[in-house]
Amino acid sequence: MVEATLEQIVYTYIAEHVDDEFDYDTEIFEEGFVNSLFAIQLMTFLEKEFAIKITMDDLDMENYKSVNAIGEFVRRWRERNVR
Amino acid sequence: MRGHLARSHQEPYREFVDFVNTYVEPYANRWDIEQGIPQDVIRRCAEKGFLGATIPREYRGQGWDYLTYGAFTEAIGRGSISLSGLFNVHTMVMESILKWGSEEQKAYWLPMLASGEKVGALAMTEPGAGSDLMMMQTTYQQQGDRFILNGQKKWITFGAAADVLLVFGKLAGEEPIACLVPKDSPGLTITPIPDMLGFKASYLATLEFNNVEVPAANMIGRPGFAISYLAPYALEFGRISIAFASLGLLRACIELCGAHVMDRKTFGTNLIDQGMISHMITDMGVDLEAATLLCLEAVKAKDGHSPDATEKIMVAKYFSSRAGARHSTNAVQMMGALGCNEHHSVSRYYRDAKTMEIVEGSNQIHQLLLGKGFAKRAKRAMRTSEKAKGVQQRV
Repeated sequence: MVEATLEQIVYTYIAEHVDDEFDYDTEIFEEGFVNSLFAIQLMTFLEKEFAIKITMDDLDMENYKSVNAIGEFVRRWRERNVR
Repeated sequence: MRGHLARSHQEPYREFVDFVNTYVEPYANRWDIEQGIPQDVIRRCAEKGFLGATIPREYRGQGWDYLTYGAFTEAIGRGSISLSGLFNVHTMVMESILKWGSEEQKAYWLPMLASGEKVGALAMTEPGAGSDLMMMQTTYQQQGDRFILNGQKKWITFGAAADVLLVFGKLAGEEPIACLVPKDSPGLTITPIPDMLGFKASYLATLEFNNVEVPAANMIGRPGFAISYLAPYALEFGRISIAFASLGLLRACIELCGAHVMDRKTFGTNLIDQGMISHMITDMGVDLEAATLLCLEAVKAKDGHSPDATEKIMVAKYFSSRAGARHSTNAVQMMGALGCNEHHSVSRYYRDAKTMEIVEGSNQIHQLLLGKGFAKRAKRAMRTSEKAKGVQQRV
């Protein structure tokens, strides 16, 4: 069985909660797919799924704007916290 | 509640109930009439560690899980919804600092708040901005290492009793931010709002900021995120508080009414043997059971750091506060004239229960968000099932 990539996991989770078509580069906040409640839900999902802890240092819209951006952010977070 | 708790949570819950029976419930009507909770009661709560609640012990908190916090709030809500407001707003401020504060901010603010040395309150609502926070007009202008704060906040729970306020506004009128503002800051005028319908002893206040200087170091989080991340994160704790406090109020209704209808006689029989009364008590008991299970499910999800917690907490708040409003109305009906007198607790339950439907996201906002969420999920389920049927037919 092929293991799902980080982006696939994030995409599947968001797709379960939004009703519109989107791809890995769609700006989910800009397009209005994500309200503030789902933003918190998504944050909790990322923290639990990828064992990360989002703090004030991670409050940057660039980190969450799309599936690809979230994937990059999670990888960077892990690298930063492994060192 | 007690019957639903594991043994590990029953002992602290018993202590909370004992505290409420001794120091809260007997005085709650008087506090409402006098529109304030005596300082020595707040001090006693601090001494018991109740203001430290969910904050880790390293910051002088109690390190409670959310189930314990919920059980505590239910016990307090049974005695006084006004007092439960203190723990609600104070915990929202502390949790915001714990999640979004820097290490320096956590080390500075949390011990004094968690120990109860200082009381915190959350200042979001404005005369023209309640449910729609984007409408807020309060502004911060940066001048070097400080902000100049101008604007007005209204209906701030414990605003007239708190030592420090987490004030939401817009930096340069654009980016939402939130800063901790001490109550004695020059230019800050705090005016109590008397004669509320409910929450009468919760020290509601109007806050007016006239060129108040706030150190930039007091900003929690980063510019641009106060409404999209800080506010909903804080309000999640607020909803846990309202859900469990409503549960306490529901329990209060059934305990008072149950005892009354078992003893009171009309037309030669006890009230409980009258079909209409029995119907009201049945619905009260069933809703109390349902609300308890929804509340416990919500904090279980929160303790498990589940993404579903956000929705479950909203469901619990919505159901419990609606049930509180409905059954406190029936409680007044069953108690008759007694329930219409301010010296009787049932009239307080009735007034507070209505307010619970409005705070921490009105129930209409809950309907908007939950309704859309449920409908979307149903549509996806239908689509999936239709796809599956299509595949089956092709096979």
